[in-house]
Amino acid sequence: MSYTGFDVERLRGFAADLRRTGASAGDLRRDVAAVLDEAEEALRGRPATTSPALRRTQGFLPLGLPSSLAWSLPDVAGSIERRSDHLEACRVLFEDGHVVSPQLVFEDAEPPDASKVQDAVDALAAFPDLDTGINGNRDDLRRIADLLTDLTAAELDLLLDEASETDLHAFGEAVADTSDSGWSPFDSNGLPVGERVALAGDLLALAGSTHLDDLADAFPWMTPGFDTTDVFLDGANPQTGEDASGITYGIPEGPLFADGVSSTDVYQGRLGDCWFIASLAATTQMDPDFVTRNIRENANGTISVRLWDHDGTARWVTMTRDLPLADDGSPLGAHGDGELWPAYYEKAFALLYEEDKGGAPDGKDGDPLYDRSEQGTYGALEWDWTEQAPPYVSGNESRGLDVDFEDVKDAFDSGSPVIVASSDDKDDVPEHLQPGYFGRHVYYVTEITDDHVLLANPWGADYEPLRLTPAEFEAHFDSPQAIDLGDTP
Amino acid sequence: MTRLTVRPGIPYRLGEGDQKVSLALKEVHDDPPSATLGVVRDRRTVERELHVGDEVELAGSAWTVVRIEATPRPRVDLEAAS
Repeated sequence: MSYTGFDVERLRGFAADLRRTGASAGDLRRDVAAVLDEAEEALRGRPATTSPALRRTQGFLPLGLPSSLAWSLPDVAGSIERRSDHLEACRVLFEDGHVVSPQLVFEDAEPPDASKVQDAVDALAAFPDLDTGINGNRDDLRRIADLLTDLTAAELDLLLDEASETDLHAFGEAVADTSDSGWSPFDSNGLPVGERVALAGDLLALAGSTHLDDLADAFPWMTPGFDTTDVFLDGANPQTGEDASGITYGIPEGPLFADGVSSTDVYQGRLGDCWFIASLAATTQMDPDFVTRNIRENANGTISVRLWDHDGTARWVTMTRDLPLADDGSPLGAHGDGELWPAYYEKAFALLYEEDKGGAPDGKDGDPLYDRSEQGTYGALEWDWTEQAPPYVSGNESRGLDVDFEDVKDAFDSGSPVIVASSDDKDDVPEHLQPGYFGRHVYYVTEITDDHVLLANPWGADYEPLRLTPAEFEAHFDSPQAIDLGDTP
Repeated sequence: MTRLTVRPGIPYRLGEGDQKVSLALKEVHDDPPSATLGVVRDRRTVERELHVGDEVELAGSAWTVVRIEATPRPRVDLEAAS
């Protein structure tokens, strides 16, 4: 194998041509402007052209073509030259017996440095026998993490070829183990959840596609489990009646986005996390661009979602494309109407969420099978409270509101998405509201005027929104939260 | 035998095309066992009162109510007629 298909000499020649052309763009602009000026003089001041592009060449600060070529072509030339340097460095490594994935050899990055890779490989290998001292292993893990995140894509590819599977697994296990050693009151072990999820995510975003499985194996906690969810514990997949074994991880069909982004794209699916899904849908409803600013698809096929961790630090959570699927291949949890972005938001949230204190469906409080604290699983997302998701979605604490129609209206009118919980008991709910009213559920406000509020159901567009008078709203809903998007990117 | 366990707080989709409905459990009582099921079609919810042994038509198929429990945890189990 070699890196064929690239003629570096010709590429460098092309870059030189681009630089020359860029340098002459100013002359071309001046020549065009001179011709137009001369023509206008001959036409006694009447415009010589109706073309906006040509007219732009005449100004004091000419914009657009051809002037813009003076800086855009050297930019492209610089990128080609850096990529050529990178490719040639990969070729030298190849001749020394190292292989960088062909997908990564033409990266616009610093040429790979084999010594950086070797340092990281050595640090991983030495870690299991390292004396981490009385302060625990956190500082040692951070030092290795810095070595790893300092690698370019090509260097990471080399590392994943050369590091032993055992060393990678040991590192993955150590960063996730924050337990106290028991013999020292001063030790800090492992990495906090947000930090380790971001670390693994950074590596997943950068790695060549052929090494994604290696990273997923080394960091199994980046694949949130579903075996503590209600749907699994019930032992059946009610959509099809099949046994729980029909739920499996797989890559679903469908694009990340289809036809833009809308709150009506969001369907809760089969997990009991209405409190999170309502927060996500409410935010999307208030700011439809929020989602596209905070989710991205990487070149290697992974997906990154920006959320905020327990400490309020923004984290890009990068994950592989696989999701828990029902046996018909559709996402088990949140999904869209053909698009998948809600499913990846939910997966990122499952990886980062740390506030689960147990909590169980009605009648299951105290049952160790259902009512237990978890982190990093889909089960951790089931049955929590209205104020717990917004800080992860927006980066800001939400504002708890009184159950007061005017307060809710003021918050919504000032640009805050609002979520609100229904009461446990629907017995005294008026007849006309009963069909759309589901107890102990979280809805989100989509419209509010002086005489009514419209609440949408995060279960999806199949469910008609509830239209309530102020009195009905105050009588049958509680725990409203105003989500603060103030400084959210 | 296809069996369906409906829990509160989670929507359940059944059927295809024109027959497609969504189900959601609204209320469950133990004494005597009874439940209210919301059946949503075209964004309209119809409530169905269920008792053990009832036969109901959902998404174009016949189902029998085989279990209703409010405690320890609300559930309604339906079994498709073979």
